[in-house]
Amino acid sequence: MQTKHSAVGRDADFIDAAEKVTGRARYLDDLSFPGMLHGKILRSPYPHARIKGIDISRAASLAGVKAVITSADCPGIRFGLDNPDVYMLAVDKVRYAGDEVAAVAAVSEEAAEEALSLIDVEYEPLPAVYHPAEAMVPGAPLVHEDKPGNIAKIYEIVRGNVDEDFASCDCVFEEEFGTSLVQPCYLEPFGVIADWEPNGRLTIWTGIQSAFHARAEIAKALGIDPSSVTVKVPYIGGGFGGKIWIRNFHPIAAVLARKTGRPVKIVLSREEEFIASRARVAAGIKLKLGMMRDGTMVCKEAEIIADNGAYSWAAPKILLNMSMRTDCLYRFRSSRTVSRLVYTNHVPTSGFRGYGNAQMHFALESMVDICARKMGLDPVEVRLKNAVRSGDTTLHGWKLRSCGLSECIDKAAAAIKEGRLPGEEAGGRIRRGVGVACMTHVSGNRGGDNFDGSSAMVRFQEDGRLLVYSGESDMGQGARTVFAQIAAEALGIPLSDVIVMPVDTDVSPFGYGSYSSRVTTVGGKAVLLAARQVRDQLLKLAGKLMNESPDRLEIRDGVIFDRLDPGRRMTVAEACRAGIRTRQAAELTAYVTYDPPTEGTDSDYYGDYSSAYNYGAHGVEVEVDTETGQVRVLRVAAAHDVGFAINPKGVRGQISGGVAQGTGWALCENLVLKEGVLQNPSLSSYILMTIKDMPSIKPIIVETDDPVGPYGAKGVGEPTLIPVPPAIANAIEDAVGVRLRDLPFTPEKIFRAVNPQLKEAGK
Amino acid sequence: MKPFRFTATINGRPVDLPVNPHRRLLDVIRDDLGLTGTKEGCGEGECGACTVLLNGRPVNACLVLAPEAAGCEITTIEGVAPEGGLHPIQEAFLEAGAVQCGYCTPGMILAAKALLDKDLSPTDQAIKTAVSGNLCRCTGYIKIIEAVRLAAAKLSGEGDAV
Repeated sequence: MQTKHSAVGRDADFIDAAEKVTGRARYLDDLSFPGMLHGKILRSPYPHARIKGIDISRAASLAGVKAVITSADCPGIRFGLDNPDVYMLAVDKVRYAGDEVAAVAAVSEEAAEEALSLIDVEYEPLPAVYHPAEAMVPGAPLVHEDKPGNIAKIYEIVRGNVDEDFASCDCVFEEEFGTSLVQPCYLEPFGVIADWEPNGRLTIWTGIQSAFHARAEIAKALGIDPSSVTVKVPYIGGGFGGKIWIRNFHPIAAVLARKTGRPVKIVLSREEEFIASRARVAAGIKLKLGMMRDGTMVCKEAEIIADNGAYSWAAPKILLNMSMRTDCLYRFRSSRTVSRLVYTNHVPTSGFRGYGNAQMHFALESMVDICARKMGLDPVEVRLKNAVRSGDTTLHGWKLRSCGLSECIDKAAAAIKEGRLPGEEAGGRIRRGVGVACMTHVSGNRGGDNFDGSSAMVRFQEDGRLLVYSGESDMGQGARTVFAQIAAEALGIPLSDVIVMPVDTDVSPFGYGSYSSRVTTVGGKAVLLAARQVRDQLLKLAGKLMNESPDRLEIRDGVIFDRLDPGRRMTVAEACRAGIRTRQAAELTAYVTYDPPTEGTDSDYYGDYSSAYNYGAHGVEVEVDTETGQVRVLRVAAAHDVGFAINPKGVRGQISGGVAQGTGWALCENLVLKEGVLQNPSLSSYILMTIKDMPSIKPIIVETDDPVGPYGAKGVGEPTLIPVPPAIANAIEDAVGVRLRDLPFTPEKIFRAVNPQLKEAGK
Repeated sequence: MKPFRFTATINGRPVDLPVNPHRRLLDVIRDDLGLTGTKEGCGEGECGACTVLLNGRPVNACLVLAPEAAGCEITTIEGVAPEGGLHPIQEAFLEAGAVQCGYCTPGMILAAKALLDKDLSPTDQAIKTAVSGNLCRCTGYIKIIEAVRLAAAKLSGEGDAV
């Protein structure tokens, strides 16, 4: 097909891949500075305990140790987002096994480790709460004394008259679902280097998804001004939501650096990544769905009780997404959701690809199949019948400027039916089935009337190469490449002439960062608008140099030419040189702040708050060994409405990565806690998908040309994970006739569901 | 602890330096020699990010103590590319879109190299086995398989041309 574009809409190799394949890309732990010290954190072994005393004297006198700090050395500031509830080092008590108690800076990692073992902490263990339901019982131990009932957040969101609608439905179904605690498990452990400049400013190097939020939160934790902090972002080895926000180790490193007057590096061990990184919020979800006999979905009611863990970072926001977003998949008439986020003495929770939305999708998209089957209807037809469409305003006020949900359902369902393996093999021991599930998500998220945009600066160099600055991080998803494609397209210059600069809060324009699947949509749009401004400047300059009206000029492949007399031309490089190095002095620089034309939400969370809404559907085929309970995902057909694929190669990469993470969540990943203590803090016992576990994947890109996004593009990062667990659950039911309602679908659970007559020995 | 004299060949060049015997090969490579292309993802031999070749065999450098590697020929990611260019395996990873965050990439490439140094027409099963000790959290591995296939084709094509 002829494309009207030269740089977007084409498969592009990632512009930073050469650095990565040669090992030259520098991640946080690859950096070091003269005099740099190594920091380590002492963590609580108890899920809940009073700190009766800390003796640091033995640790402080160890050779090579330069500083040992406790809460007494830190500003007594509780920081966080909606619920500022955490001190960088525990004050008076610890609230989960992994809580930060003290920290050390030493000349080597070994000395720092040894020093940790010499810190004497006297704990008095306290009664703890390990389940949200227990934690809400009156009289239960309090995780935070100022949080009665251990409640971190409650939402009650009502649209329409749900009681009246349930009364008028032909069928009403009720089910309960549960999701598990899982960790993002990016390959690069999270870390920081902190250094105080002689002028009193703090420099933070950290591979973080949101540098500007980091700057604000680090400043808050230290009690200093954000403008006194610089955050510089090296290459990031994956994030998936787990590196959006700062952790305690960021301000801890800053305190250690101030105390020692030297740069301090802290990199988490993999064990710390499991014990003390913020896991996906686990939720128990009661769902009630009202339908008409013809398959029309009328109304939905949900009750959510979610495990916040010991500290609340983004978990309230995550609960909000969980409470609302799936109501915008289908044309519901009404809904009511009551959700509670409850403190426990578990690992703190926060965002992980899907940001709460994935949990409720597991429940609702399982529920749709359960209800359709009970009513004798085809689940795929039920989805198509109820799917929201372009032009709809959803129950929560989203305005769907583009929506390819029906096309995604059609294509994923057709693709998974094609080439199916036999339903049975090995005399019925092996059974196979297919299932479909849908998804919706956002490309940006304007909370209330906050800014939800991005800024970009583009600047020509005298050799005609272009520097692009954005405040949005590339955590590996390919943002740099997409920005370069957009700039190259808008300016008519080769992709290889665009350099996308690393994020540095002193230099980069303001941006919120890489989350809410917003980077291409809003970050890309800012780059597009800035590139267009510089194009105008360049053509004005070239017009002067060529003695021609700028509106007759065009740029292609780095050459500026007269549209009516193409022989009259000069290269972009020649124009730039003249603009920068001669008395022609043109700015050739643009700084654009863009905020998408959405309203935001009112006090009841109603409103159009994302630049675009993403839709998709996955079809999966699974194979169940009825004798072992083992499930294998054989094939996934993943259809996503991305508006317009700026880099289809990148989209396909996002799809296969999201499918892998979603399959891992569904089948094998699970943090196992026993009385608050993690039993599997290792990659040998917390099982990730390997290359041998992968299904074959058919990525299906659906384009709906969104009217707002750059070249019609929407996001795709998070969406690719969201439909995977329910699609697998639906396929398992299709294969063996049993319904799994709790993640993960371990062989044991499946074996027991398939063989309900078998009892465990001794029971 | 008394340092011992660590002599080995790294990326074709002899090295000779005093090293504490309790140090891991990974620490020698990254900290003592400054070759930071080799990554640490878990420190317990589970993720494969620190894969290097020891006498042509892929090992997790976090599980090898420095004395065990003494006298060996060691290849790290810095020793894969020819001067100023890319090795066909690196080209293949780049072209196939097998690189996202890049943190697993050096280890993946070395695991693939160990396979392709012995077998230029590997089956998909052989490819999967060769990199099954290397975790990737971004790509879902699909393009990594494609990259190794593509690398095999490039390498055998080059072989034919010579």
